[in-house]
Amino acid sequence: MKHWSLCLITLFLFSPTGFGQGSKWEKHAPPPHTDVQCQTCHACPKPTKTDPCLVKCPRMHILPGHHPEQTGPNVLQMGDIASQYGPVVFAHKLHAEMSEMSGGCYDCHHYNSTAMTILSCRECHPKSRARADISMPDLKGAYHRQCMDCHRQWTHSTDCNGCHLKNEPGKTDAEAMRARELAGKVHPEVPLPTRVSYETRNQNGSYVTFFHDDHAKRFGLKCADCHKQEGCVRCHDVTKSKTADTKIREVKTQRSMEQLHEPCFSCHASDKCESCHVAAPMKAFDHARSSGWALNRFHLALSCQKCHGEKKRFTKVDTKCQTCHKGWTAAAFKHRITGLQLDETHGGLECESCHIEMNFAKPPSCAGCHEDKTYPAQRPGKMVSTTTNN
Amino acid sequence: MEAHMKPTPIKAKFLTPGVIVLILLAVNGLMFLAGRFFFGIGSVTHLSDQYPWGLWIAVDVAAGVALAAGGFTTAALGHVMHLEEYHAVIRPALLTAMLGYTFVAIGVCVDIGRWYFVWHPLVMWNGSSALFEVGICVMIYMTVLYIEFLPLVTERFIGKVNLPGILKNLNRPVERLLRALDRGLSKTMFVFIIAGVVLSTLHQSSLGTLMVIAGAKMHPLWFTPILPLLFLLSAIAVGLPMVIFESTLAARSFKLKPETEILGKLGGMVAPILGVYLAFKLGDMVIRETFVYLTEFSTASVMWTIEVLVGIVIPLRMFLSPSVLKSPALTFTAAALVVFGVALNRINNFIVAYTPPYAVHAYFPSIGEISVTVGLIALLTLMYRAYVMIFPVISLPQDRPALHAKYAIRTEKS
Amino acid sequence: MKQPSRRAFLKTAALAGGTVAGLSATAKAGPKNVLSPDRNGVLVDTTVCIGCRSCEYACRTAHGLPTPPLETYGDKTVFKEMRRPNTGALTVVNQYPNPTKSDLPYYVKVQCMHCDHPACVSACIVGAFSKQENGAIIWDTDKCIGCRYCMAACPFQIPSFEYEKALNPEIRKCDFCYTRTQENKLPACVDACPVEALTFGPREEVVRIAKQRMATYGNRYVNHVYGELEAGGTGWMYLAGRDFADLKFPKLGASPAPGVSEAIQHGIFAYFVPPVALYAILGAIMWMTKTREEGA
Repeated sequence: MKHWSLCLITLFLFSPTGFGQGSKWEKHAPPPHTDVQCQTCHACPKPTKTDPCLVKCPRMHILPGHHPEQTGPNVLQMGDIASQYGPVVFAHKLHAEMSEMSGGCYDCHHYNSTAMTILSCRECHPKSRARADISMPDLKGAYHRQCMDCHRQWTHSTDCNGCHLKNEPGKTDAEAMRARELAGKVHPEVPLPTRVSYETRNQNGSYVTFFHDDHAKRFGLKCADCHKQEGCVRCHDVTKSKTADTKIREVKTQRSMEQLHEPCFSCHASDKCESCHVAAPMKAFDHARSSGWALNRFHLALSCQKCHGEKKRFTKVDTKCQTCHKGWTAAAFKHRITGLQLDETHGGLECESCHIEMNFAKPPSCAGCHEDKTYPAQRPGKMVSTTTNN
Repeated sequence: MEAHMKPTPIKAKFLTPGVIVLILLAVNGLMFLAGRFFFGIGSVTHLSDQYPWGLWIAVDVAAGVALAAGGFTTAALGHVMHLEEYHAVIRPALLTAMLGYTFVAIGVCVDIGRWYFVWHPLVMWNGSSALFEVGICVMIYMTVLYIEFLPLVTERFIGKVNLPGILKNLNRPVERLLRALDRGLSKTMFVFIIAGVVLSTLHQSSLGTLMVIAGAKMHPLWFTPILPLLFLLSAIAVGLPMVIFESTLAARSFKLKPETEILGKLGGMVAPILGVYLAFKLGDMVIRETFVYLTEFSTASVMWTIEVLVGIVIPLRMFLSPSVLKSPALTFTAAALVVFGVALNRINNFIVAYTPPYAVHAYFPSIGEISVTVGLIALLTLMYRAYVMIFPVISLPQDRPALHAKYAIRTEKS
Repeated sequence: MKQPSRRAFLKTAALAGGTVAGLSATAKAGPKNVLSPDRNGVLVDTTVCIGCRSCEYACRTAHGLPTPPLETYGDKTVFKEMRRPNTGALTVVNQYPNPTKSDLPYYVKVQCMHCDHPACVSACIVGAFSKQENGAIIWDTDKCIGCRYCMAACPFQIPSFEYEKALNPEIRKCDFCYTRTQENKLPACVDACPVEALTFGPREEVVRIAKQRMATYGNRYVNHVYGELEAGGTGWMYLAGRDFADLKFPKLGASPAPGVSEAIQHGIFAYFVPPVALYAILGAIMWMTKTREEGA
């Protein structure tokens, strides 16, 4: 106890988010981003520098604690019931890594210390179940409440053996092995679906097609931008078969219209229903079909914003190359890059001689210059392979 | 002037085809009873954790107590109010009550899990329990009934004690004991008679209190805080019809002339009591607005309608008609309907109205339960027959004028 | 000849009345029904329960009831039908769908509620049930006659009877681990619960915590502590994430189950006045009609 409070005070004094360094300690600036009352952190009405009488586990508000990612523990071993079971190996880093999808560190570290460091469970939750203060669960209850909601969804079971290994002779280092195994592990990259079609209850158009690929890669959205309250069970489910990208998912939910559309509405709030709800699953976006201008292999590799700008509703860009390629000069251009190495005869011509009105989108025809029908049998140069990109 | 009536043991053949049927029914019941005592209640009944009480409590105990009410109603009329004309039916009613309560006691022993602890309520008291009150009252009342019946024993045997063989030497002491008993009883009998009426009033009503505590699980058509009053009123109402019913049956069985006049008089008294019962029952329904449950078609609504229509309204109308009272057959029918109505009321209260929310399927008595109940009733009927053949119970017209058959409070012979 | 008979009448009547009145003093010595301010309670948070049924195993073990090994309790198929406590399991857990999160169903543990005004204690013919200082309602095998009136009376349909036993069948129900709590141990189920969905403590404190939880996590619970007021208050209380009727809790008012019947009982037996009065009235009628008859 003594040790703990000492530690707290020290942390408090040297806290980087520190308080006014003046001689007066009666009032300091409140911690950032919260509307914290004094008594949330201080037990006594007049805390002083020497005796700030800090509340050990404030339960009124969530205080933001600063905690650089790399200083978090990697793998924890919790051996509180050593008499029955070996220590539980908890891959803290693996869990923390994915926690951004569902609320971050605060998901588990729901209350922070007044010293604004992250508290571990045992620092607030008492070990004994028979106790005077029953307002919060004991350590066993706290642990299991955190773990079991995800793990029972995932495994469809409440078996102890998933996490606890029974004390058995000859299996003593099982936990150590498991800890070593988990130590350096990072969460594998999540395979992303390209397209998902949903069958909804909307009368006018029951199908909504979501192009995950486009949103994640082209529009540059991060996972947590949409997946704010995602449970592990979304992916981790022992009974769920791996679903194909294009499989149509039937939407069965009790959530409200707002809850259901929340991830979409952050961008598509002003869209009409019909723009997403249609009679049949949509085909992938085809630039040629939708805009009448097929993207060549160079343009295909670009992000949409590169041409259409940062605006969320893309507007039509005219097809003249100079509109985008503003700094382009004929002198610096190597025609080879188009896949056609011009021969000597043609290499010397002005661009406009072949590309009428400098319209590069429309390939020139031989007949534009040559009346003799024999010429077009030959090319104005030789075809070369450019890049592996097609 | 009519011939004087005097209670006399009936002389008839015990075994008749009807009696043989009853014996068979009794034996069948006893076989299932053996099953219950050797293999537990569960082996014979359909009772469960959801339905802890079934046919045995509803019929053997609740209906049994109600139908034995003739004992205290006739005692109140004949002895307390000294209405001499009813004395002729007091003894049959007393016998019915005595045997009825005996079988209630047997029924209780059959139904409770630890029948060998049936005496516990005598020493382990719980004043707040309605069942405790019922239990204590029934036990004391049964004793009172036996005491009330003792004079019939003394009357039968005084001067006639004739023990066989070696017991011959006991003839004189037994004779003296009987006489002493007779003298003592004649002086104190009124205490027991009043006690009997008070005890009956108490436990007949408390039998209604029994299901009040189960209020949350009771169908609103029956559940009301005035259940004890309804039980008491219905018990009083069924008392005289039960006497009519059982006297007529006994007379028919022994080929005696039915006592039309007395029974007609008794019948005349039924209507007002039955009317009061009906008024309270319907009044309660109106106040608690439970009539809405009659609009839905369910077991409860059907059973309630049968109970009230067939068991109260129709016999009430019949008892109000002078022509019915003049006809033994119609009086009997009306009385039988009242008996049926009150018995059904007890079944309804204890079985039909009891609708526990967690019950998976409804309770219906098993063959074993029905057999035991039928067997006990058969046994009771057989004992009744035996008793009236041994003891002076049924009044027969005498050739020569005799003293008034006052067995209970006798004026001392000078 | 008339005189001695009438005097005897009075004497005997007075004697009988006196005996009955004398009994009234002892009749009030009913079963123990203590409503101590320190009585314990348990808060069952059905939104926390994970349906592991560890409590069922712990209960059976603590009460010496036969049980399969703990590993078999993970079997979720038992939830297909609704179960009730019985002689072999004094507590059971049932599963109910969660309309907002279908893969996190609600679980409701069922056991004796340990009412503050217990119907079983009031109803028992021999006073075999008693409410103890620590809040437990326990059953005394030495008194019970097996009449099952407690089962008919209990608004929660908890007591269970050994129908299959011919000799000494028992009434079984949760006893709030009376022997364990006497040794300052927690009830077995509370001790075993991995998520502490069962919070054990003084009843008043438990009620306070229930309300605090509802205030802090408003959208997690429906605004009702089942058992705080139901049937006059119960020792075990529940929090839930959906309407209690959907979780098959009986809808009960705030009046204690034995209230009406005890009022009637005590009304009829108010110091034995009504029965004695009835006795006196009947005696008077009897005496008067007799006199009239003899006078005539």
